[in-house]
Amino acid sequence: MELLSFLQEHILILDGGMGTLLQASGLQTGESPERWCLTHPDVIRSIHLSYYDAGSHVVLTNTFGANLLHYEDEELHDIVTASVRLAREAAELSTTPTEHFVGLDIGPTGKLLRPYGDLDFEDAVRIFSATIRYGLEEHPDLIFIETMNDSYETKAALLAAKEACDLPVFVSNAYGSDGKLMTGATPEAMSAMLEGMGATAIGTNCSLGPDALRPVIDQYLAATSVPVLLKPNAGLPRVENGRTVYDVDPDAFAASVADMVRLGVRICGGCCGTTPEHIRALSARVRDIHPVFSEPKSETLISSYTRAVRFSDGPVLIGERINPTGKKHFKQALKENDIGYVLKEGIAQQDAGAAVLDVNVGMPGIDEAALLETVVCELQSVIDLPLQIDTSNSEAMARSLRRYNGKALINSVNGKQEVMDAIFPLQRKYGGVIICLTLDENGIPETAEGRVAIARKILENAQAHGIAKKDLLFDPLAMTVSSSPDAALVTLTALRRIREELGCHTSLGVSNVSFGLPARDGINSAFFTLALEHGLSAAIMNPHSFEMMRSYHAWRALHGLDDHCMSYIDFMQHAPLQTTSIPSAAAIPKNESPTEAGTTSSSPLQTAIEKGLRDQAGLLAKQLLENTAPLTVISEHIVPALNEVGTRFENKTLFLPQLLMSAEAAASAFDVIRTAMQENQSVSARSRFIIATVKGDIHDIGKNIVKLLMESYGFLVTDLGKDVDPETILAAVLEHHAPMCGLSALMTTTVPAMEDTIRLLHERAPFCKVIVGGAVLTKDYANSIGADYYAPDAMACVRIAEEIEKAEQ
Amino acid sequence: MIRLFIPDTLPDVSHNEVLRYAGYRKSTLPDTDTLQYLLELSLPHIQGRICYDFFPVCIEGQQDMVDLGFARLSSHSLCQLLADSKQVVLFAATLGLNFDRIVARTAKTSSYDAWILHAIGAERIEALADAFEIMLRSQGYDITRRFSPGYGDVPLTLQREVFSALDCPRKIGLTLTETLLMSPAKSVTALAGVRSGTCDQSPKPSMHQCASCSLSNCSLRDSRE
Repeated sequence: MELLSFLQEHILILDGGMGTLLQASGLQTGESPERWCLTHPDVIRSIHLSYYDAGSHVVLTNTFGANLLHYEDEELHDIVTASVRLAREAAELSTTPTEHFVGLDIGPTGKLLRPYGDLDFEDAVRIFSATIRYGLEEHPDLIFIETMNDSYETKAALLAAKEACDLPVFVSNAYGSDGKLMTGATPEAMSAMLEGMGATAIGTNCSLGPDALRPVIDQYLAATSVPVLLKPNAGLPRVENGRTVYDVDPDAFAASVADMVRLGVRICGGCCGTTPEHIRALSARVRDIHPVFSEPKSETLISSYTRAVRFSDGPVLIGERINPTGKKHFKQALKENDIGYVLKEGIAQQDAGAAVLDVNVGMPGIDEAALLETVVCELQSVIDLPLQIDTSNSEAMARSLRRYNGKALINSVNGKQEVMDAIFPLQRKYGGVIICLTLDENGIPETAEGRVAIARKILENAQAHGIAKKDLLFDPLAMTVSSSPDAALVTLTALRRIREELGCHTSLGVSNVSFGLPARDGINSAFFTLALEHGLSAAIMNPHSFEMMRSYHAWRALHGLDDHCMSYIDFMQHAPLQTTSIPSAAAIPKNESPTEAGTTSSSPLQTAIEKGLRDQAGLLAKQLLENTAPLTVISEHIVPALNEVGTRFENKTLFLPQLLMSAEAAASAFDVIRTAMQENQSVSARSRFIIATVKGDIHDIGKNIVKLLMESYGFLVTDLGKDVDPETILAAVLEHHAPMCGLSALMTTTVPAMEDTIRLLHERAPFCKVIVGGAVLTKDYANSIGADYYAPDAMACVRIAEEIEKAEQ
Repeated sequence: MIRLFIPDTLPDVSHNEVLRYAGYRKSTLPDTDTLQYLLELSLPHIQGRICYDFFPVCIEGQQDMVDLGFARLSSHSLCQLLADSKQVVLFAATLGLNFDRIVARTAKTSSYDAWILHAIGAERIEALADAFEIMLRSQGYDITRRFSPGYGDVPLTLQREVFSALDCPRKIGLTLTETLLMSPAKSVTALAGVRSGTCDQSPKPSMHQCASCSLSNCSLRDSRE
């Protein structure tokens, strides 16, 4: 019988622990358990057999750590193929009167993925693929991905399995006592991502005993429509007379698991500390329980790497600001590959209250697919909001969805057949909720009837592709009310009909409605309230708009979604002032500390920078610009202040944190000046400085400090990030013909990569001077690896750069 | 058997220690408002976890060879440290990935704030390791001061054996890169000797022991001692 048909009618019983039984058979600490498939096949086979005989329907192969990080390719092949054969032989030897299946076991790599670790996502996919490919040679019945404690690695493993075969794939995560994965994901977030990607069954194993996993199981059962699996430890371990024992005995274990089977768990077994006795007891308890089939869930869910967003919880705000359309500085940043600019925009929107971020980087003259992928990866490394990937380029969509760590919003499809044909298969592969625009080959219908008809057409097409209704979000298109008086009414009618007749969630780009009108936020916020009243589930909007946010909070308060109106009150109390006053010079306190001596003649801006007052420095620069040339503000106010601070740092009368505060104050003044200047006009005639943390090093705090200081001194800094290939650094130096390059390394183990980079730069870009720094370096060490300069601290780097610049001129 | 130590709470943050890690020296006025804001921002994201195990130790007498039970190496520092010990306790501690994420997010808008967070992390990971030592002492273990791979003549490559002996990725989500960097970044691995006999349970004399360290040009050296 096929596994899936068997699962339809039975509670599927898995096996129990492998490690403890191997140790009892003589496996030594530090020895590789998987190698025993080759060296002790009889032991492995008999362990499998003991589980089948105890009542397991599925036994998992002895391949938990069998991957290319731990074994050479050839040995890996031999281990994995042998492991499946041994399980299959045991299945045939067992005389229990039931079906016997073999699951190919896939455990975690033990590595953290980039950017926090050093394993690339695609390398992780390749590592899992190799094990799965070898396993398939011996025809297992399913793939069992287990004990994963990071969502991104889980995605890599599931993707590898889905790309390699059509077998059922079970995915099991390990949760801590806080009910989350080590890297932060909740069961609901994992459920959204894994079900979206087509996992056959999902659930949890390891970490805790069955009772302690009950809250995790409850969340799975509430969130997912696919079968839920549970494979807990036999409680917690302790040492008794020199032996490790677990505190939950077979009967108690079986009783606890059986309780959860009655609630709806469909697949169960044991992990660390469980033995064939536990499985025997479990089998006896659950054998006659009729499977409880879970209701298909209709909740629309998207997720980030830590959390899920539910559309039934009230209106979802989608921040629209990561989009170059009509934004001069944003376009400039994208052209210069200044991802930091984009990230700041994302962080600001999250702080303003956005629950999801729309990400659009489409503009002429850039490689949109590569850039969108990069921006998505960078955003998800620092912002834990789900993303809405916004592109009409299907390659860009595919690459971004592949790398996205969660279940994304997909923006968008419409009624055009060719668009649906391109995007629906991507949703099937990577999961996601799709925004569906009600337009097609014939344009945007003028009537609500026409838009609802297109929505129906899209819904039917999606369902034919196997996409559930809950994974569609319909956008009936907000049109400009100034050119067509009934535009808003048509949209509102379509909105209500889609909610009521199709039972689907909706979304709108609200601000289109006010195009061409003055004080647009007035119209936008009124329309937003009306749309919410007509059943709008999500709005793509500007979370920095006071009126829009006020409408949102007011609507929630009026609908009883805001307990005691606390969110509304909180919002109004913290709402940004409508006008910001500029502090007068007198408002800045002077002579607070003895180090202030000698600054009495300085301007307010200079004082603000010296004192590290970030916000005030920006406002004062703005004030100065009203009657002072930008370059004069720089040369007569910013530079003298920085020189003063730099000198005090060098004299040790002021310390690194204060130097950083001053540099940030200078940077905020620079930002104001940059905004005031014409396009293509440069605020600085200083040299280009390339900076990177070398290959293999994932720390960037020191590099970031140097970058900040160099920028505040007006150098044009290109920051390549951390863990950067020598070739990438060379390419940037050549592209900018940069006269100087700064390299950072934290540990002795990454200095060789620094040395390689220096060698490459000296060979291929001899015009470029290399400055090095980092915790383990000394002047002598720097000399020995061929660096041109050694900077013991960030200020020293500025001085060296000034020296290099002088020599160039 | 590998055990876990996951304290519900840690001792209060020592502001002086944070400021010391940040590079403030006496006679300067720290920016306490920002420090307070950053503490409120970051402390909820700390998930301190420790995994640990005990191993028999044997000093072999020749060329400073020492067998730690999970690794064997030549180290004069360890021979001195472990002279009276029959056992070592080996542990790995981490504040978790969410703290790194907060630092990375903050760094995108302010390097100053990120730098102070970095100092908070340094103070917290030491506080976590201290809490672990206090827990062991309260159970009657008489332990030496802790010692990490990379200190003295103990090579950083010992990290590989430490990670495999403690199963760090699985137990506490702590991983090691090819270049022997730990991720999450705010993490510590260390061992301490367990002396025979019971401990007098007297409190530690000093939280940081700059006076006993030979690295005289260290930027973190506390001149107050």
